[in-house]
Amino acid sequence: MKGPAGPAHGPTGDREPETSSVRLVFLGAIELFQKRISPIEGPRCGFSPSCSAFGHQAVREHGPVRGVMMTADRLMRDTIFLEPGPDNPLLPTGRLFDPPSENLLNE
Amino acid sequence: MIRLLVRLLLLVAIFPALPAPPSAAETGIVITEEVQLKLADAFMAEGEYYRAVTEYKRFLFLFPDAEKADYARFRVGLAHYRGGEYETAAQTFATVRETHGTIGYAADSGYFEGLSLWKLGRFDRAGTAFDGVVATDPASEYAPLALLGKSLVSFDAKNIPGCRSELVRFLSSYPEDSRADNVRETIALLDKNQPLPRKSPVLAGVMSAVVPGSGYLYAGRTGDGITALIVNGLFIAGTVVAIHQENYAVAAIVGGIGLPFYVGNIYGSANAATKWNIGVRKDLRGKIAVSLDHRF
Repeated sequence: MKGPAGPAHGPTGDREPETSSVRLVFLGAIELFQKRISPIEGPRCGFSPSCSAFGHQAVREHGPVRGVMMTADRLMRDTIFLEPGPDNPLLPTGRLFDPPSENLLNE
Repeated sequence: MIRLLVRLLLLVAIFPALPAPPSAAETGIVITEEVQLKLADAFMAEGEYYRAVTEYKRFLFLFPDAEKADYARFRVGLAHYRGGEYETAAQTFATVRETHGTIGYAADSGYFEGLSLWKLGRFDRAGTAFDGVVATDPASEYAPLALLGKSLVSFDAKNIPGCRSELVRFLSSYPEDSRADNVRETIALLDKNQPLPRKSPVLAGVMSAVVPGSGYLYAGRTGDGITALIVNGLFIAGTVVAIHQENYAVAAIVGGIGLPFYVGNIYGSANAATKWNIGVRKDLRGKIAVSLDHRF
């Protein structure tokens, strides 16, 4: 609704501090990739959010076990066979929309 | 000096005869019920729903006993609904409906309360609200719409027989309605798609556990299936070869890296089957919406 802006609810605003050490290891590894390795060749992922951002979000929100499974599935789908469809609509950026929330086995 | 005095006296004498400057009350805008309501309606028409709510509430504050107070209360709910504030909209419509019983904006409010609850994903309560419209005011223009709404709510709640029965109820209650032919087409569409085609996520997962990638193929994802087969095949082959060569460290590393991909292939296959089911339902849902030719 148009009107005065309410309090900001950014993606980091309601994030709880991580406590699981396994989760922290996975998140740290993904952040290391994002900061040190990924910039070497630049963005190449055909999806949005990128595979590393997807993995980070999946591990953060769904734990290391499910998060890793979701990320592995995503990595196997990010191939030359990638094409837009009802599951993965094409965004104006030329990438396919595929957030973790769409991959939760929920009908 | 005498001349100056005379002039001053003359000025004092004619001053009351001069036209008085217009007072603020005469030139300012007088807020009447009509003006206030027009302002609120104008904001509503421009999509300024937040301001519209403010102006409708100002109307109710200034003119609580006005003839159009009920209209303003209903429009407050409508502004919230159109602005995407479904929770507040549902509460507002419920209040208007409860206040009116079976008169005034009761049917309108009941219908939009149902729509708001539907948007919130509260299918049971939405269905109850739609039923209430039909039960309390079957002659209202919103009653047939409420039946169509309830049929789609049933569909969204994965109750396809319930969806069909609401459409049949529509035909028996409003056979002369202009939408009757569309409803008949929709019933035929539902009958044609019963039972709804479905892929089992469990079967897809088991298939990919036995032969990596086969679950993706079952769910119609050929490319993903081929990729999963190649990736997992390479990891499994690498691990097996390393074990045969008694390179257990290499086997552990290759197997350790490959394991998440193997498990991910099972998860992804089940996910692909789930998405296939969602796609089939969405497709039918779209066809029903087109067939009913009605935008909710």
